[in-house]
Amino acid sequence: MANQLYTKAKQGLIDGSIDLDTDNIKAVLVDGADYTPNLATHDNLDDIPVAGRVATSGNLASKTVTDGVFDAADVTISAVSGDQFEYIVLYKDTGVESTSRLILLIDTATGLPCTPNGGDITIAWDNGANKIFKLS
Amino acid sequence: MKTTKALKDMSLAELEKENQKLMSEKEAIREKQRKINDLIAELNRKEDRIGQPTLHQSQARSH
Repeated sequence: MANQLYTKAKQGLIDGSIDLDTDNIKAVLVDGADYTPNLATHDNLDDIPVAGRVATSGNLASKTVTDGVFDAADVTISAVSGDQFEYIVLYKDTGVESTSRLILLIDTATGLPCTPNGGDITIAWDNGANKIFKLS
Repeated sequence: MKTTKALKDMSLAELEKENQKLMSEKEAIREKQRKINDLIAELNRKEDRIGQPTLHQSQARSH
């Protein structure tokens, strides 16, 4: 596969139900043994089984959406243990799983898949032109 | 494409000419295939608008 936006996220970005620079955006590390992505139909966090969520970050900080390019500060998740994970999923956290919209599935990153060793895991976003992702 | 019988009836010079023609056609097809591959690669680059992050994992703290 490749890093891709969820189809429902595109809808949300267009209809305004996802506002990247004001909403709480988090990253969840996901075990591919428990979750099979369906980019066309999965819309909210409850589509990812709890067992498949290895760890979740805090809210992304220093977010920007300049010229259609979404970026944020690198994020560190402390003391991660558990199953190997194959995906990083960005989502809008509403506090309710059934309304927390899935945004981006990352399956291609340096360091993926990753087996947690109990240490901190930092996700350093791409510093190239696309940053986290670019709408074009 | 000539039939086997037609090829058998041809002189050596004609066969060489036919062979050159086929080689030329083969090279033209390869060139078209290269162009198609380049176009596909360009399309893929244009669709790729998502960055690739890097994961860094530190060692677990000892207690």
